Amino acid sequence: MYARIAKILFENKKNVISYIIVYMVFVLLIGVATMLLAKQLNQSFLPDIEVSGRLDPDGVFRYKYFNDVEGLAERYVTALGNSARVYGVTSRCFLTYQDTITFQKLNFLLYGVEDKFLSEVSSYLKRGRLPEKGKKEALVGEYAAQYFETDIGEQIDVHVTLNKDFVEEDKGQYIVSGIIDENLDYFKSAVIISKETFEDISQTRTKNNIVWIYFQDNNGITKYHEVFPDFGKLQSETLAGSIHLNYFSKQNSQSMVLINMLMFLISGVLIFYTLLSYMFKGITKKIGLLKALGIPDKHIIWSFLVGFGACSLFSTIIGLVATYGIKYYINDRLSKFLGFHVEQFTVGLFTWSIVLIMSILILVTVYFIVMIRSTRISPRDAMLKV
Amino acid sequence: MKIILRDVTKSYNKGRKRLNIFTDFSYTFDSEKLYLVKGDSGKGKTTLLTIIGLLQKTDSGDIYFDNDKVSDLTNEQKCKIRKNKIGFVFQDFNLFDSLNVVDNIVLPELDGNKEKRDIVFKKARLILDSLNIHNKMANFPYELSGGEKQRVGVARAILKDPDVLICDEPISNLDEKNAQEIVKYIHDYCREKKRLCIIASHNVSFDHLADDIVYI
Repeated sequence: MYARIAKILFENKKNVISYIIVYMVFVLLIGVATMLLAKQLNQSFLPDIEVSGRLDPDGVFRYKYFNDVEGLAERYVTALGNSARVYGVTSRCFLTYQDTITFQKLNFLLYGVEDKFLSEVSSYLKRGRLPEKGKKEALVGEYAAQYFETDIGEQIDVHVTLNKDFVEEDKGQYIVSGIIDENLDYFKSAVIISKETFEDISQTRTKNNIVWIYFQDNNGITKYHEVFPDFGKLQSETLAGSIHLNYFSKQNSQSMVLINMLMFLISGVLIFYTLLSYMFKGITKKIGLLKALGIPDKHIIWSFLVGFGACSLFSTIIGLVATYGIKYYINDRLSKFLGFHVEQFTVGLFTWSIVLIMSILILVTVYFIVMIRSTRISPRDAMLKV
Repeated sequence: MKIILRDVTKSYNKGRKRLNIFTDFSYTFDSEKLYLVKGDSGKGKTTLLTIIGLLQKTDSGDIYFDNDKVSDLTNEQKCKIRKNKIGFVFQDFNLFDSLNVVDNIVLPELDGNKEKRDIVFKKARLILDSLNIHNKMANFPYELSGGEKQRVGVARAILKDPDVLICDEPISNLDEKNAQEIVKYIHDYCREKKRLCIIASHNVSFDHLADDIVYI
């Protein structure tokens, strides 16, 4: 009986196809959005604040990358005290480029870091170990390892030096001791060496051109805002350029997910309300007739829900397949751009969970709209002249 | 079954005005009789049938089926009465285009009970046979002529063997030959089964067959 009633209610194929398409696009949008958000949520060990030296006036990234910010790290250490861990870093640039379709910007960089920073990275190693003191060893990110075609125990076939420029002899000097976990998105294209070891071996002193600040807890940002005005003069003295404040985006990433999903839900409710209202206009007489013939409301509502449930399930499957298609396209596009295979975007448990939750919420919405609309239709509507 | 209307009032909103259809209308439809409802267009023939058939509420007044007051029942209870006791034949047939003839007829009677299902289908075949459209069972409504559609409409209404058969202009969309056949079938059915039958019609075909005529 339900099948026969559903046949009547879903007689208009255009309406059914419209519902399937709208639902499919809805699932696809949620899938792609969660795929992008998942990447943001998974990111670990991103500095809360990054202060870098100025670029040269022509704006070109040279090997030395940024101008020095000598003394700035020490001033931050004094000002912030125990509320933050501050690291002075000497960075150099191998190359930088951006893919116009996936908007992926990649900077293949060399970071000369303090040994205490290296020990912090130890918990994020995918394979291998930290560089040994006194040896020319480096940690490399996943992308850097693939780009430079190197692996643990192998040479990095590029000039690795913290000097302001490189010479031919600097090529192939360093050996990979460990590969960094892919969740450290910030370091995926980095080569990291010990600044102290470099200085000992080369007998030269390096200057910082980047400062990384990691707050110990939520009070850190308050302390930072307190001391920030005092740093205005110092920043100009030390040729400091940009300040990247990642703290709030890190703190708010979960709120961003909720806000995004809420926006999707609100738009979904509005879209489906409009669509179902349009669908009901065409079948008012039929529902009235079913009621006039003595078919109870609950049978009509159930038939609707079985029909909408089947359409929604079908659309969800197609939407997820399309999401996987887009994931493969983006990863393939990026892989071709980089010249090696990467899985930058993934459709995992997070995406599946969000799609499932949103589908259930939309189905509940559909249920209420159907129940209210169907109950309002009178058996008298069987007499409507169409 | 006897139907009693007592002081029934019904009005509609038409634009900003309130349009009275009935005011304190009372009438008794005796069991086993054939009634004809007549009146000019817009006077409320269809409204009277929908009130008797429990398709809509009245503004005031009471309706009794035999001695039971049905006007105060819930929608669910009224739905059960429509399902078990009332058969409707509509002016524009009101068949479902997505169902074939036999499914159109049996739909209101199906409730998931497989034994009952077989009986219902068997009964439907017999009725279609008596209406001379047994060869159209698998056809869809859009494949039928007007006369055939109304036979299907009549078959659907009488399948449950209702206590009251309500027909709203059942032959107004039919040619003379088909109209006469439908009139004869409805009349014979009501007489043979001793059922109350209330028919709204402009057509004079029913005049000489009716036991009583209600003028509105």
